[in-house]
Amino acid sequence: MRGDAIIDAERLTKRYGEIVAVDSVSFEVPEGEIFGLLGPNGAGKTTTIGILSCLVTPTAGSARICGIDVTKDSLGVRSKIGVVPQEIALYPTLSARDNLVFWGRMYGVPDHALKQRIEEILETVELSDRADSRIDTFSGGMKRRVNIAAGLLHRPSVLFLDEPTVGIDPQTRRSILELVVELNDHGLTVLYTTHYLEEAEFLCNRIGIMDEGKMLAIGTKEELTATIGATGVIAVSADGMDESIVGWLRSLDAVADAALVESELTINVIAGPNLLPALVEKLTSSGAAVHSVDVTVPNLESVFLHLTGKSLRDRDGSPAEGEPVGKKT
Amino acid sequence: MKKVLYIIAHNLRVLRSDRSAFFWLLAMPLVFTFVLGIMIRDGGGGSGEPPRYALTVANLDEGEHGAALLEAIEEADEIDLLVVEGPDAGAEAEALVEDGDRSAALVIPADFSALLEAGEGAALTFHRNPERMNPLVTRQAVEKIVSRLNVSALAGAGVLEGYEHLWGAVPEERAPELTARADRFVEEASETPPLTVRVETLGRGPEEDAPAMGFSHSSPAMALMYVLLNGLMASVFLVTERRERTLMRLFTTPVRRSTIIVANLGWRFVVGMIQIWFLIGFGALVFRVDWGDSPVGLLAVTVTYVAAVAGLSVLIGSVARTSRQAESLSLVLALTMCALGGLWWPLEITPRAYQRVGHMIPTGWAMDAMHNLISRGYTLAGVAPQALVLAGFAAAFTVAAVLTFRHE
Repeated sequence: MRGDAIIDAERLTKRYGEIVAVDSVSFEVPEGEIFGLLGPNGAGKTTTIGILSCLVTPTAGSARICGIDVTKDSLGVRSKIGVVPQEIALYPTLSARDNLVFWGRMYGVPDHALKQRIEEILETVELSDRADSRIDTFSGGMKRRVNIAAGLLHRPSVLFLDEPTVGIDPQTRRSILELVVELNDHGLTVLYTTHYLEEAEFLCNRIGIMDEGKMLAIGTKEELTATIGATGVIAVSADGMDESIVGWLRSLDAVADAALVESELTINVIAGPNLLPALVEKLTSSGAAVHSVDVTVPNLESVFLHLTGKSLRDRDGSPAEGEPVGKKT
Repeated sequence: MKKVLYIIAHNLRVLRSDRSAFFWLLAMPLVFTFVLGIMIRDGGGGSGEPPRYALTVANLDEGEHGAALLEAIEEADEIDLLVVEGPDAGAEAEALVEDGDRSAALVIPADFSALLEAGEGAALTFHRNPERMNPLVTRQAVEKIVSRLNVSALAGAGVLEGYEHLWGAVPEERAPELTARADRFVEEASETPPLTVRVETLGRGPEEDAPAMGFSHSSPAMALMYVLLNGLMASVFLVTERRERTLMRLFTTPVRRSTIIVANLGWRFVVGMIQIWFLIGFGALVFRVDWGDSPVGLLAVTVTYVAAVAGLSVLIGSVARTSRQAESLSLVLALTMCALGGLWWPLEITPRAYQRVGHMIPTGWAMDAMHNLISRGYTLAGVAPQALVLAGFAAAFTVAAVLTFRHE
């Protein structure tokens, strides 16, 4: 184990025939950190978690959890981790309590301690009053909370959360993020995968950006945004734009990167304010109908754009623009 | 081991939470046992009573010989008689057989007595429906009666001829007395005939036995069928567990793969055993089925059969990609095995090639073993070959299930 890292992955690689799902990925996560794996769908985040939770055998490389090699002592590793899959991996016709009893037993929680643990966990996820209701009578948010609770019963050293907020409403998303923060405040180390940059920015102490199986960069939000050398980000929403505008922007010294996704143009600029008049004139003269222009400071979207030349933002799935994703306490 | 039991108990709890499961596991088999038992009771009946074979008789003859024949048939224990009368009785009896309402009919022609009294031969017409199970047995019963009457008639004629040879023409008033004496002699002699055939059975062949009928067939057949059907349909549970990621989650807990597989086989085995013994018990108590004198033999057959079904269920759950695939595969396999294995009709009435195919699958061997226990009164040793073959099926299915078991 390097240093005090609870998770230590070295050159992890997973190939499925010709496809390289994870390509020589290395990272460390020290105790007590929330580490985010940020990347679009298919970036290799879930496969990485699969390797770390002993579900997937790596083609090459090594990984240790709490110093235990994932390929040599899978039972030892599994007793140290809690895994919360993206799906609601619960038994819908059983009550929340019955589900937790089952998962607690599978994690090896002794019978004499299990009852109390379940009461504590239900209190933590604020579901004590619904403990004996069937899961299929719960709202989506309540199911998500039980789903997380099932991974905490054995008091794991590290919790793997694989995209736990996909496809849920803003209020539920907020409650889950707040729960993660609360768990981390109590000392739990968290490995959190997401393709929502707002969540990564809000939640994670450090973030690893992945794309096409590769780890492109690791650092805090500030460290990552500092790497792109941009001072601002211009986001343009307009109809009638095409790739020629991106080519024009990239030819300018004031532009670090630019990307067009449907009717959204994102530009990392080195000298933002001076570019605006020329940009608006160029768009107007090319026949584009401009709806809005926003100027902001660089964020993880800018970093992803800088690293890959692509936009990470998934407008359909991301939290609405300006919507708070949670409240850190 | 503790975790195996936890997972088994958990899955039973999940099953219990589905109320419709009880209907499919316990109620439906009873309904079908009753319906099939009634359908094939013709000639069979429940156990404990001698079988009776349905025969319709149309007596068109008004003479004494027709009446005597009818009386003899009425007295035969093995015949379940229906007499049709009237001018169209012959056509009516024929129609009953042709329509499948009755398996066989005997028509006594109008000139039956006249022909016999004239010393000419008379022919009876026996109608049979080959789709019904017992016309051959019924015909044998009729032939036995006719043969007995033939012997009486010949004996009577012999006595009269002997009298004539020794003392001249038989006085008219003495003839009935002499023929009645001959008839009595034949009847008494038939109790202890001078010539008998001792049958010794060497080897065993299902075709040598009368097939079990009524509830003696339907009760074991439906028990085996529903254990198979419900057991294979339980493969859907495994696909659902993969789809809902609970199986994947289980693989992230400190539980060995072997534990998970054994538990998956285990809960299916427990459910199958509960189901089959419930149906056996119900069959004994309500349908009065005599399951033989070897509970150990019955246990050996049920254990190995249910183990084979459990292994096949996990195998299907492992190879199927979707619930629909698992359902379809289970249904096709279960129904095919029921039909080929003699669960819907006794294998004994099927052609030899059909019987051979039936013994390539577990159901054929299981039904064979049930027949050995119920109809032939075999003990554990008698059903050991079948139990061993079933254990072989269980081992093969389990190995295949272990090799294909996956969490995603």
